[in-house]
This record gives sequence, C-alpha cells and structure tokens, in this order.
Amino acid sequence: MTDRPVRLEPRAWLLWGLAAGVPPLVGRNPFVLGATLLAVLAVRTVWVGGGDTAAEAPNAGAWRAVVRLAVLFAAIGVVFNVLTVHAGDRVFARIPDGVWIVGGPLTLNALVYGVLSGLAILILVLVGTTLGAVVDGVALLRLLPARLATVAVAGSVAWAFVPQTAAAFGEIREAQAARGFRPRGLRDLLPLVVPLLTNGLERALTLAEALESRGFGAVGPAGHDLQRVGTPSPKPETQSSLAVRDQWPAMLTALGLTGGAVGAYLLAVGQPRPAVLTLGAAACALGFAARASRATVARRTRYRPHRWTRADRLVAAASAILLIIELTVLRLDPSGFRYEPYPSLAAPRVNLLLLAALALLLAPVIASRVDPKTDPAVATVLPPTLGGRGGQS
Amino acid sequence: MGRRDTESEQSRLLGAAMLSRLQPGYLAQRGVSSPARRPPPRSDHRPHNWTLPGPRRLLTILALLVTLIVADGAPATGQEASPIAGHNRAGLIVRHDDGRLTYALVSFAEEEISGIDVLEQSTIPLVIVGFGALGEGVCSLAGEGCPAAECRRRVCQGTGRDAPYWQVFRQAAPGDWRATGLGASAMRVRDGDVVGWSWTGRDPGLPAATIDDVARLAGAPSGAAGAEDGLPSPAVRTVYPPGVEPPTESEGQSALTYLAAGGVLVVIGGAGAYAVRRSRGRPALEESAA
Repeated sequence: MTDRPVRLEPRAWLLWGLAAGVPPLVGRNPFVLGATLLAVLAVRTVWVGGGDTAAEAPNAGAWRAVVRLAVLFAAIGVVFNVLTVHAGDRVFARIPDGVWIVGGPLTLNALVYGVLSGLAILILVLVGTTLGAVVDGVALLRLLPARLATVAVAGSVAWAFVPQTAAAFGEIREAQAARGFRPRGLRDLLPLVVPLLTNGLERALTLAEALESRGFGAVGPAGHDLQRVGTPSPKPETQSSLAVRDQWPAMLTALGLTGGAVGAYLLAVGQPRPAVLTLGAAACALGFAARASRATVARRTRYRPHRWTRADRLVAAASAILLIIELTVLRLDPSGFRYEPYPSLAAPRVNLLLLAALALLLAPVIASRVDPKTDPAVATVLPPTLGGRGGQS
Repeated sequence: MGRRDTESEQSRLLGAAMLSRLQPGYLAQRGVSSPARRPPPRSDHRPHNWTLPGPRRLLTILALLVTLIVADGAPATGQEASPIAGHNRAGLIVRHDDGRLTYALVSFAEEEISGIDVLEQSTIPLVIVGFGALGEGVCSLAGEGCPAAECRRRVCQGTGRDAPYWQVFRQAAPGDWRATGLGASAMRVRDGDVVGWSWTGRDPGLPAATIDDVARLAGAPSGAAGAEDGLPSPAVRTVYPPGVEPPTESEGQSALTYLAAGGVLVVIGGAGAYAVRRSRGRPALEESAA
C-alpha cells in the first residue's frame, strides 16, 4: 500500500504554482516547457496519484477528467493552428486557396508552434489541477481577509463545480451501466444529462441552504457589532447609518476586485504604467475595505492553526528562488524562455541556468520524503499513534 | 513537368470520380436507393440517414480532400498561360531602424496584387499575423520587429506615442509617401507601383525612387533573365548607410550546449521518476507508525 504525504501549507503550494506557471505563460521554448512538464508530472504523481486509485487524492479522479479535456483541446489547437496559420518556410502540403479560412500552404512551422502551445496549455492545466487536488481549500480561504471571505467562498464554490460535476457524471454513468444502459449515440446521452442537471440543481439548493444556515453574508443587528455579539454599542446608530457603514466596505471590495482584473488586463496588453497605477489603487481599496470591515465582520477563530513545517519551508524557499531566477532571466535573456518557429524553423536557444533552476520545481517531491515525525512543528500536532506528541498548539 | 501534369490530371479525374460516387445516380446504379426516391420505412426505430456506410463515406471524403490537396500542389493541365511577355512589376523599399534600405523588384502576372503579396514574393524574411476581416498585420521584416505572439497585441508597437512599428506607404509621386489607411491586405498594387515599408512611429523616412530606380538598386537583370516559370525571379539588395555594418549572422549555440540541455532534462526526468518509484514503494504512514 502506498500513502500520500501530509498536507503542505497552501501558501507554499501557491508559490510553487506561480513558479511552475511562469514558463508556459511567457514563452514557448521547448527545452523549458519539457523540463517544466517533467517536474510537474513528477509532483503530480507523488502528491495526487498517477492512476493508482488506492493512493489518490480524494478528488483526483474528477480532476483527471479536466486533464483529459485539456489534452483534447490541445490536440484541437494543433490542428487549428496547422490549418489556419500559413506562415513559415517549411511547407509540407497545400490546400486550395479558394477553400474558406483554411486555404493556403500547410507548414511544419505552424505544426511546431501548435504542439508547443498545446504543451503550454497542458502544463498550465496540470499545475492548476494539481493545486486543486492538493491545496486545502479551507486553509486557503482562511488566508484571505475577513471582508473577502464571501467572495472567496463564492470562488471556491465555482472552483469545485468542475470536479463535482465530473464526479457526479461518473456516478450517474455507473448507475446507468448497472441497469444495462449502453450509450451508442448523442441521443442516448439524455438519460445521463437529465439526472446530472437535476443533481446539480439539488446540490446548489442544498449548498445555498447550508450557507444560509451558517449566516453567509449576514450583517449584525442594528447597534451591535458582530465582533462583540451581545454587547450593545455605546452609541446606538440608526438603521440607515448602519446600512451605509456596512455597504461602503463592500463597495470598496467590489471596486478593488474590479481594479485588480483591469490592472491584470492592462499588464497583459503591454501597458505597464497604467497597470501599476490601477493595481495600486485596487490594493488601496481592498486594504481600506479589509480595515473598515474589522468592526462589522465576525472574527474568525482557529482550532488548530497550521504551522510552517520543514517541508513547507523547503517548497516555499525553492519556489521563491526559482521565481527570482525566472524573473531575472526574463529581464536579461528573454530568449531563454521564448521560441519562434516563424518565419524559419531554427534550433531554440538554451539557457542552461534556467533549465537547471527548473529542477527546483521538484521540491514538493523531496518535501514528501521529509519525515513529519522528525519535525518539531509537526510532532506536537500529530497524534501519538502517528509518532507525534499529541499536543495542541 | 509533363509527369507532374499527368499526375495532376489523374488526381483531378480521381476527385471527379469520387464526387460522382456521391451523386444519387451512382447510388441508383449500385442498387442503393436514395432517400429522395424511397424514404426509409416508418417502422424503423432509429431512421438511418446515411445511405452509404459511415466508414466508407468517411474514406471517400478523405480521398476527395487528399485529391484536392495534391491537385492544388501541382499545376493543372490546360491551365491558362500567364502573360509572360507583358508581366507586371512592382517596387518595394524597406527602411529599417538603423537606416539601411532594402530594395526589391517583384513581377506578377495578375493585373493587381495585394501589398502582402508583394512582400511575400520579394523573399524578404517576413512574419505576419491575421486579424480576421481586418486583413494581415506585419510583425517582422528581415528580422526586425517582434514575434507573432507579441504582434497580436499592438502590431509590435511599444507603449510610447512615437514607438515604431512596421508602417506601409504608397508613393503617389517620387518622394511623396502617403500612409495607406486600409493596410497592406486591402492595398492594391499595380504595374509600376512602388510600395514602402518603414519601421517608424512618425515620418516614413523613405527615399524618392521610381520603379526603374528600384529595379536598378535591387540589381534586377534586364529582360526576363532568371525566369523559371514564366516570371522573372525577384531581385533584392540591401544598401547600408555610412557607419552601418551588415548584421553578422548570430552563430547558433554549440552542440555541447544542447547536449548539456538534454542532460538536464534527463536528470529532472530521472529524479522525478526515482522519487515517484520511492514514494510508491514506501509503506503507509499509518502502517509505519504502527
């Protein structure tokens, strides 16, 4: 029997995800993409489980459906690129010019670029699904300020939609197969789709009821702070002034999130100065919202706060070092990341330092080998049956 | 030439035969009634719309597509002869950031071609990206510009107002360069026209030159010398201003570098595989604790 390692701190995983996501986002160098893919696959196999269902993460099967979908889309992307991009010096076939959109020469350059782009998409999906499977969602939500908790809950519900739907589809398919149902065409999908839709609606209603019963999005009664429930405010306020006091942090939060999205877009389209200004304004808005909401949002407590273990520190440090190296290479030698097969197909440039540094992405694999019992930060938390001291921090 | 023509003719005939197989008449000859003549029986639980079996029909369509692709690759028999004697010429001047000027003379049989066609026929290394109905944008000419991925943002233009990018101009009169509002794809180039491309954010900075000047500066031979398929080959020559040296070909990286890169990939892959194997052979946490 195999086991999966203990959980890592979500911040360490996020840093790892960021470091692994930079190469496919900024370039198409085949060496860099290859090294990243190998490292991500190793981490995924160790932490999520590579087909061995006994050792898999709880929702690994559902995420595997997303990976399959990504492979399909990557393959479609390759065909689309070959048929629609007619640039390049290595022509291997020709479609008559009269054929709408796809007419023209088919080039090896377009094939190479399509394959590399598909590889980049696949790496990004692998990184995302690995994080989705291993990151503790509850711990991740707790990292955010209290004001953003509602947004984060909504985000986590959306994030869980795909794996939950995939899992539900698998269950329905198995149930129908047990009844002797064999789908042969598109028309036969109806007995699969209808229960899926019904299940989804039922799940949504149950979730809404559960959230409401836990006071999701509720505000305190007039004259009371949720932080000090039961203690009347020294100066009773009118309902309207309370409503204003409660609403403007929410408006600031919405403004900050919108500003963040706009800033990211400006950065992506090559407008760094307005992007920095917008992102700065968004950060200020979110900061004010978080500060202002201290009085109106319930204070959260933790039964057992996560402590940074040796494994967490190892992954976080390796990912941070790799990020620094990536940004430095991006600044000094961007061709180390990039590769253009147009107009002529040539050998890609190799940056050996960057390639060697990408081995740091294997840090979670090494962290999985760190014995938690030898870590004082973990020994106090683990129960005695697992070799810990059973104490509570 | 003759062999290619024969192959082309054969492939076209094959395509025609495949097409005829898809006609109702052919199906009737084969004893298969078409849906129009005799509808499928009502009692059929699931009406079958395809008259031909699926794989066979698929193979037929595939063969038709391959035929079309092959047929287009080779010149067709009996194709209309191009007007070799009266071929048209267009001049091209490309001005780079360092001031060097590339002159090219292209010949074409059509009455008019697009600005992109002129660039493509000039054999100057070119990177273009499509912008749908807006036509194509030029990203890079002779290595100057930006890669296609960046080109989609602002056609390689930086954030500054005067940041350069590849702009196309048409010479109304010698020295009178005018920007074309519709872009190179919509631009129609006719015999004797001179098209200018300049890596600039403001003024074109292109010299005054007639088509004969361009032909002379590009080193085009007189007459139809160098013609292989009826049209003279394009002539291209670059003129460097004083103080500007021809760019040296950047030497590729050594084989040792690529060997080392391969070694790094093997090490990463090997380390990952070893760790995966070790983690699979490790006893469970609960078991080891017990």
